[in-house]
Amino acid sequence: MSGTAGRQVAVAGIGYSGVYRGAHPPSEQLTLDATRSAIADAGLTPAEVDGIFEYQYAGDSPVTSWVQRTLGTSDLAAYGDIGGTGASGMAAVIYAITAVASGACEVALAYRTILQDAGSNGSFGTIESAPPGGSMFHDEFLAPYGSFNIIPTIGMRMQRRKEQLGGHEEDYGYIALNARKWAALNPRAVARKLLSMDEYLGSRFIAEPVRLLDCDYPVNGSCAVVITTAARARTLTQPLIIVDSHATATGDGDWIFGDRFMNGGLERCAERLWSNAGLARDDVDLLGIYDGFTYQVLSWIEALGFCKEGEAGDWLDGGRTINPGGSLPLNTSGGQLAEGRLHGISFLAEAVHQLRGNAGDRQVPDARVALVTNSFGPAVAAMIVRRD
Amino acid sequence: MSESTAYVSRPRPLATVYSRFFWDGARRGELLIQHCTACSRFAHPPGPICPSCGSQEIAPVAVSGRGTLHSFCLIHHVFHPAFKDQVPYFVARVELQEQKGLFLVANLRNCPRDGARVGLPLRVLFETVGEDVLPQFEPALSFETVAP
Repeated sequence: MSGTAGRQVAVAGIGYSGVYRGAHPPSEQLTLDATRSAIADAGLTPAEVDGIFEYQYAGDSPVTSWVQRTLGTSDLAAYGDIGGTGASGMAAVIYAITAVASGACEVALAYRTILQDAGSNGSFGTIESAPPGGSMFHDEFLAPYGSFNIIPTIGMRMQRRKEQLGGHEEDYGYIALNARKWAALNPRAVARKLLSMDEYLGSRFIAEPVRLLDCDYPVNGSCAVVITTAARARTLTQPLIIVDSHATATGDGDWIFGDRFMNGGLERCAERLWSNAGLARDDVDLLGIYDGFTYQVLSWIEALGFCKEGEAGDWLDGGRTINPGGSLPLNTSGGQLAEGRLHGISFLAEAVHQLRGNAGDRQVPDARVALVTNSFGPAVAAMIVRRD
Repeated sequence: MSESTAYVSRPRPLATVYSRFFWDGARRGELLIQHCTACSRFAHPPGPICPSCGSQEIAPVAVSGRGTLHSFCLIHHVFHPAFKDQVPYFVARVELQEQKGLFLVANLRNCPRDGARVGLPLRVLFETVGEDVLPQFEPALSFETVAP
């Protein structure tokens, strides 16, 4: 069975803008570059698109109506601008999948455009405080204490994990080193220089125990996918990539004050994913695990059941499990830690590259099934895609 | 912009209709938490109803200010220019003793860098910052006593 109720759905096209550090093309241009290349990659035209979904944070992505008008797409049968809450770019993809699966539309575009390199809007920390019902955060009770959005909450989770579950500093470092090993094989990646463990351990603390090299790499860029029915995708030129299953979860819906602090919705999301999936853990050939912070990767691996809670460090086996040539390659694009923080859809786009068999130097041999996740805490999603 | 002449104030707590009691209480040296008259559960941050039972019969109640350190981090990075002279400083998640799963976030004060650990008993203190008073926490016992 498949976890997408209704019609069987495929990922028909993927597209990227350039990924920029130190250059700031307008978000409209980035979005056009990614969406037009995704539509062309699918072998479709903008006129055939009848659904558009995007995820944004504080207005960084252009809205769907602008994209519709600019691409010259006529009337949309389904659309949505998702922001604030939501599992980053995958939220838009899942809306697109459900819209196509239900029959609401036939060809849906999903995109995420992010402007986060310094000189754009800086970081989430600079965004104005929202009213209490208007944000996942509670800035009124955090900002006066010098606690700005995500990074301190990750620092607190990582500290508690270290005290409660043990492990080693290097466990997090293996994630950082792995990202660069894969990025070295990805011309699009912004951080392609290999890292040593000493460099990782020597990087400055941001919110101790979180180091600079535990954090992903802010960039300006856009990534897009085209979703359509499997039946329609079969008539197109690209290899058929089927959405086997997907799941979303929120846990207690809170980033910092809740009692499911450590993992938020991860376990529920994993339970839903595996109960929806037509495939099992042993079927998975590669992982695309959201790596806003190295900590999040360890927690996702455990929540998805690839090892027991607290054992991700051992499971990594010094990085050998997930490195190029490993038994379960992880973040083969370099992920957000090294390809750049495209904020979600890039994990799915990379999986599609791999499953099509056109990932170049970083191709995972005979990749048939990929599992990708997005975001963390109270806004998570996961998806399994497979080559038909 | 010259950093030596620019003055950037710390973000102030912008109280809402739901939370004004919390900051007003702090000015009087009281830690007030939203409490449900119907089900006796506390909730924080405050809101329009009790998230445990849905009742609108909610009122601020003074709590002991005792709790334990659920987790913490030590901020080194200057996320906001007003904290340039504060780094490094602790941000802590404190579980109040009145109810399991009732958390506040504050700075951990009067604690050496290597003295913070999960489970450390804490007590509230009130810190004046400009026109506001912030509930903060410190080790409940003098540090020599609780040091491992």
